[in-house]
Amino acid sequence: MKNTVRFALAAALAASTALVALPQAALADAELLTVDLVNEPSSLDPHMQWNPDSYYVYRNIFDNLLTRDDEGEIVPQIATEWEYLSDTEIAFTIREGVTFHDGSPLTAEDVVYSVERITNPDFGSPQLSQFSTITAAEVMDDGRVKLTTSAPYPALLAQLVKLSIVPQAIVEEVGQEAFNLNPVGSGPYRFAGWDRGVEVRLERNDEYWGEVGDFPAAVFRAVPDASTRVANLVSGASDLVVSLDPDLAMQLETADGVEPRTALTERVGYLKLNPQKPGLDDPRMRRAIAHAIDRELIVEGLLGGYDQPVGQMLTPAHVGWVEGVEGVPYDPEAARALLDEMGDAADRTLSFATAPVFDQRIVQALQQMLTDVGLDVEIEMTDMSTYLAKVRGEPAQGPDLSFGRWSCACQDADGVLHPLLHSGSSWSAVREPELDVILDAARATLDEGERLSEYAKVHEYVAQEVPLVPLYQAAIIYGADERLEWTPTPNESLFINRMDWAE
Amino acid sequence: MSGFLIKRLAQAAISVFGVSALIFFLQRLTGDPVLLMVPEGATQEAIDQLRATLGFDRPVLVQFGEYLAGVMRFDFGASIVQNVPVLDIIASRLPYTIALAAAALALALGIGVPLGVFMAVRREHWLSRIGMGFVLAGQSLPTFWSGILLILLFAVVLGWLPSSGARQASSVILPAICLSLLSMATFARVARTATLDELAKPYVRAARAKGLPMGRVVTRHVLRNGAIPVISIAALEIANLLSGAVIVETVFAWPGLGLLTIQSIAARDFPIVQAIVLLGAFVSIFLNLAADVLYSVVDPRIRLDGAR
Amino acid sequence: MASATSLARRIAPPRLWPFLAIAAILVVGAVLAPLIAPYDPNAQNLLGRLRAPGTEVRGVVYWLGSDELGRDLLSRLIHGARVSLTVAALSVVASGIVGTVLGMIAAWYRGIVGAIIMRLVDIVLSVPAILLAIITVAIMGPGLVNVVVVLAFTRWPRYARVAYGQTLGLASMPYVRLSRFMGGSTLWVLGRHVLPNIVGPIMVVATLEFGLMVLFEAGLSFLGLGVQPPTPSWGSILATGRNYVTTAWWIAVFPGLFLFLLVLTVNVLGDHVRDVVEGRR
Repeated sequence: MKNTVRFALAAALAASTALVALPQAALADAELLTVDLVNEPSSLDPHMQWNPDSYYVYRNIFDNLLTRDDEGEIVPQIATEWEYLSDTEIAFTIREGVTFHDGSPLTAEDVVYSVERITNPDFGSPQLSQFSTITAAEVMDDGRVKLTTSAPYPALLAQLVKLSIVPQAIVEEVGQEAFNLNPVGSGPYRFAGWDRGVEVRLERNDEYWGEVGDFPAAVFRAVPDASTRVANLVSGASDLVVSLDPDLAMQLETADGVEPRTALTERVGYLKLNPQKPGLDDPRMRRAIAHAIDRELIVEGLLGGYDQPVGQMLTPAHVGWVEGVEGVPYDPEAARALLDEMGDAADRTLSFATAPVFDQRIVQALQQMLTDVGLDVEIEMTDMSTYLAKVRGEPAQGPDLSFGRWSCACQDADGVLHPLLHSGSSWSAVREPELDVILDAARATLDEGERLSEYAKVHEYVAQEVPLVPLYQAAIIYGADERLEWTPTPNESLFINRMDWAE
Repeated sequence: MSGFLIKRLAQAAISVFGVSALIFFLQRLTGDPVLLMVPEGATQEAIDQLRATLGFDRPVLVQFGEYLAGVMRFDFGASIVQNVPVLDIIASRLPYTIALAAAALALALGIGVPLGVFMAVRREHWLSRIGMGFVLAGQSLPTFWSGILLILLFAVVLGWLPSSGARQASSVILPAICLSLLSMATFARVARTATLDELAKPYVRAARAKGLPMGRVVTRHVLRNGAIPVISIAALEIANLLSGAVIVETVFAWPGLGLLTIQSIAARDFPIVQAIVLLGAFVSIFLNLAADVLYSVVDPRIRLDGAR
Repeated sequence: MASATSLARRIAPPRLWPFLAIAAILVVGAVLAPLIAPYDPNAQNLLGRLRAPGTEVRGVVYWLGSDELGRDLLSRLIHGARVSLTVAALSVVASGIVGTVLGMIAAWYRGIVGAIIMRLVDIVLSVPAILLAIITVAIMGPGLVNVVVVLAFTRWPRYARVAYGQTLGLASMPYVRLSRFMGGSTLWVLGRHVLPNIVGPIMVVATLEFGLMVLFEAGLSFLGLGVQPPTPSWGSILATGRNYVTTAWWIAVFPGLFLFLLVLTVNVLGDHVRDVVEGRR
């Protein structure tokens, strides 16, 4: 009953704020940065979710152990330096003088607490798998923080770029649910309010230890329809919008005062083939599919040249990228010849799984290219959840082909190739013991040269056996007020303290 | 009257339970939110772990029992994705939905009904000739199309109104126009038919013969008697407005329940969907009941317990 | 002779002729789509994307322009008529039959059966159609047939309500009671005496629903749950086209116009059917 009363009160309160107190444009427009996201953040507790819209917001409230600069290099944030004590132990020196937004100092204990919180299986962090190799975190006698991993783990630093530091005292005092509603971090902006479904507000943290932002405040709004985001930008209602496709970017080029901003990311667009299905178990058919696809045409003709064709299942931003790997060349004649050779075995309708979030123009263009060499392909578009269940499930029951865009947000080959190709991974349709050995070896050493030579073998396997057809390095396209000084980064972050109005 | 109410309420309780159960089990056939929550490449162990933490590894019947037990205590659980009590989320969205539906209904009734009555009373007037075509045209465009056109015209080109969101009170205007176009023609049509029916009745002719002016006959008698069909359609149309709002809210980024519904369904945020369906069932059943009761108030000849 | 003319005028007065003509053109176009479409609706040309109406690229003349994949918009619209009309017609027929039968049963037996059916009507009306759409696609997979299933499943209550109300009235009519008393089976009485008398009102609902179904299919396409690409439907063409309003207006304007004309025609004709059935005018 208490709940009902609370519900009624909350509804009445919300109604009055919604209908009466709406005009609240207290800040001058130039002082406030308005960003249109696709959805509202699911949660601002940095350990409780993993999706871009939440990340865009909370990354401004929280500092991470490490971060990346605009060039994509791993650089200090809360940790100022680090040192490998052994292959499985690494010590971080924690920055001094950092305070949380409530004024309390950020200590080595907070770092240890954050690691233990996110790696605790019962806590239920969706990001668990990114940190699950960490077995222990402790404060050393000299005040440094030591992390221990179960085995040598070369992508550890890349993963720690995503580890946000939360204040132990506050989280323990107010509890999970309250912290989620009122997050306290140490970042350049502090949490200022959240109208559910409408917007999240941030205020500048003037005591920030690093680069203090130029905008006194920022709001992040949820605008699911891309055309509406463009209209918002053009009409001046927002200053920066995310997630546009190249054709919408074209609209911005013709409009006044706004422009597209783009950066190549570590996301790879790819076509996944399922070697556990009849027809596709024949490498000739898989090669034929790869030969049928004209990456250059997709990138130049369809994607407006923002993206970059790749011949391996990585981008130059990844550790593990090997210069000079060509991939299977576009050669429709060779594709037809291979299919002829197969005869009736190639005569089957292939299911092609996709979801509405992907660019359907690419999916349809791929279908057309495969149809052109004589294959019969049927697109099966389902919502994202169903799509994921299909492409991740037992390969024998899965779709024949699927389109995907992969990013491990770690810029390391281990986060791409291991899950997509290792037989022990549920994201992989490949069952190849020899390949497993190579992938395991590449993750078990910290020696970058050795890893590169292992990954070169993997790229060669992919080009020969074609379990995947790498297509392009995806660009991320934002729309921005042309007076906004800001360059998008490859790791899909929006750091407000790196933005300003041009004079 | 009270016997009728008790019977209908008992039926309502059973149907609410039925719809809850149906949606509960059907939803779980569509997977769970875990795969959408974890990063690409998450290991099977991590996925299983999260599934267990969220309780999706248990038999569906056990989950259903727990859900029912919660509902009995007015505990609708917390959003899986947002970690916020479902009631708080719905309470924050409901006012926007009500504001939008009310504004749209007011527009649709305010324009549709007078137009319909006018078309019946002044059949030869030029406005009557184009009026129906005009409102039918509004009903003939998909809202995702008329919505973006309204935004481009009134927000981008003219700059009169906010393009989307709910930051200002004026933000409701464009989505309300867009949504009202769906119902306006219905109201105009029903109002016109009802008025025509009344005008054909002997008492109108008698009143006219007695020398009463047409305007008075219409306002004093015709409108009152013609209100019944309009009321019954309005009840249906409210349900239509609430569900039609899904696309309108998406286009205008209006933070109502429609947008929440589609996002929660896509995210497999079961507790929210469950609560929205429950709320929807209550509203729909209540509206139908209210319409039946209203008939008898407007026209006492209609008995509640029997057929009309 | 005079009476035949006046009957014809009552059924199809001159002011409806333009709409009848539009309806005829649309239906004929949909039926003959493969014969009259100038090109393959799915043939792409990535080097001929977003060309304005009248442009010629490598011997292909885009009379109504080309779409975002360089396909001929005119051909897609002609084939799209087929898809949109089929989906709408099938879902109207399916929901009409299910709804009418259930509504008649509910009114005939009243009591517990009637209560269950009519509460089911309330329930279905209260469940968001989008939820049913996602569940259907998740369980049965995507496709044209499943779009029809979703539409039929969400719309049958409209017919059930009308059939219920009408049957209730008829069931107390002397001749229906007599026929029942004479030992006519339920099926026979319903089919012989009730159905013919409620067909009119049901037809009225059906014509109005037809226009709505076209719009619903478009809405599902907008949400990514409609017919599968590259199959063209007016709704799906319009759903992509709306992103090109300022850069390639033709992709949204032409399907929007066609859709508008179709729904308007159906609504105008539906209005007329209603007037004729209800004996007005």
